[in-house]
Amino acid sequence: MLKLIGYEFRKTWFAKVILLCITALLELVFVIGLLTSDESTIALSAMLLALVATGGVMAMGLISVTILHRDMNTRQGYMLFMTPNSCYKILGAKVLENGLTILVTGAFFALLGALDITLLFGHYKMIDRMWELLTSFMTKMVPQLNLQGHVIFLFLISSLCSWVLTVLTAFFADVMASSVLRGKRGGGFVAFLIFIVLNVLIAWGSRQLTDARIFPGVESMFIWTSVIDLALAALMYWVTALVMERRLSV
Amino acid sequence: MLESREITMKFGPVTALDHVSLKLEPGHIYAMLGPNGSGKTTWMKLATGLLKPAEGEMLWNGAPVGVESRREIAYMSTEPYFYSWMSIRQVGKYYQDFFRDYDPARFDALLARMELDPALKVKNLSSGMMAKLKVAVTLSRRARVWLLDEPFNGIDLIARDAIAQSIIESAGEDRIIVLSSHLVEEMEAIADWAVFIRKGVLVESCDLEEMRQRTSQSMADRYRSIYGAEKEVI
Repeated sequence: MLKLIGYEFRKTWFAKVILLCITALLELVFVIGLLTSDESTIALSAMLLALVATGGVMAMGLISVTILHRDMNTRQGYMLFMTPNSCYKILGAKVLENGLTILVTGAFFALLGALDITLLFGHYKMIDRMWELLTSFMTKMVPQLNLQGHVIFLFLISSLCSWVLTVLTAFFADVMASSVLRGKRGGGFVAFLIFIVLNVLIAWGSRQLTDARIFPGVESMFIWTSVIDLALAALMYWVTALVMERRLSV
Repeated sequence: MLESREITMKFGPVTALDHVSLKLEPGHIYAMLGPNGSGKTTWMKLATGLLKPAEGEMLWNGAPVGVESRREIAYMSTEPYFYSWMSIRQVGKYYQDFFRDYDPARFDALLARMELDPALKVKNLSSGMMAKLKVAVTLSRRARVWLLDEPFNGIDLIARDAIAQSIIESAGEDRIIVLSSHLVEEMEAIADWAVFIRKGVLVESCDLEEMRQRTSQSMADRYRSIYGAEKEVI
């Protein structure tokens, strides 16, 4: 399994290096902006960093979907599917590699964001005061809102778990397109519809499960939604691997 | 024993194999013969488990092919399939990582025989070098079954001789080797059993020596008599 994960990592290595290089470049611009007190540079680089962070986490998921698609639809897939590994193991390696990548990328950008905000507070003392005013205003507007560090952390974890589930739903739709729907007219469109319908159903079901409970705090709600997303991701993995094992021809 | 029972494979409206039943016994080198589109490659992919049949079953020692059989069955596709970022050495490492029967010393020896530099990147190989690499890495497995689809394709005469020698060296009492190629004369020098397939239907599976005595034909002549009629009609 570890070897499979290693090779999956190698397949996405180039994209990860590009993301790191772009991030390093923007971070450098941000630090130069701070050192020269060039506010427009700081603002622009901070915005771009936020964009790259969001886009980067999403891109890691999308890249893994394209790699799965290539493995199922090109000759390179022989390298994977002629090895003595079951589809459960092959897909499991892909899911673990991608899940870890998403979590590590998310954690990396969260830490980088925290570092940049700290640097910004250190450089501009008045921002500290502005942040306090902003949080106090927002807490008054939305009393349930809690902008403490651990809550933001749990929110990020919850968002990442939700993205992992979305990626697994895309895996399922792609496997359906490459197996059960292969060669059928409009198969790709049907697979896309499956993806959309599943996402709507998952969002609805998740909301029902969340609304049915009363949470003592926003923290427990984030933990609950993360657990639901991970449980659904596990179910999605199992169903996808089952379809691969029984119906996929490469 | 590798066996297909009433195996049928369809690609959309096209039937690539139609209820083919075939038993391959250890100790033989099989020449799988037929014109393009006759179903040879499909049969091999089914035997490897890369394709799932529409009907029938493919068995290795009585059990359906799958994860366990892939430990003992080595398949070489006619198309290149290595990851483009790999070097020749990394291809060997990949096989070492996943196949317990892989023999790195044999891989090195075969690379030397094929005059391939392990440092070369797969994406920089010519079609002939790629063909030699496919044969070298597949034969580097001490497999029970080798399925070699077009092993002589795009390879010069000297390298073909090297490949033929490597195949003969790999044969053994407990091994099955299946070759498909359009170079019928070259296959006749290696194989001892012939399997003729036409349009997805098994025409004949016979011991070559017995066939020669029975029909007074070489394998190439037999091929012409089976498939030549189709050309005349066209």
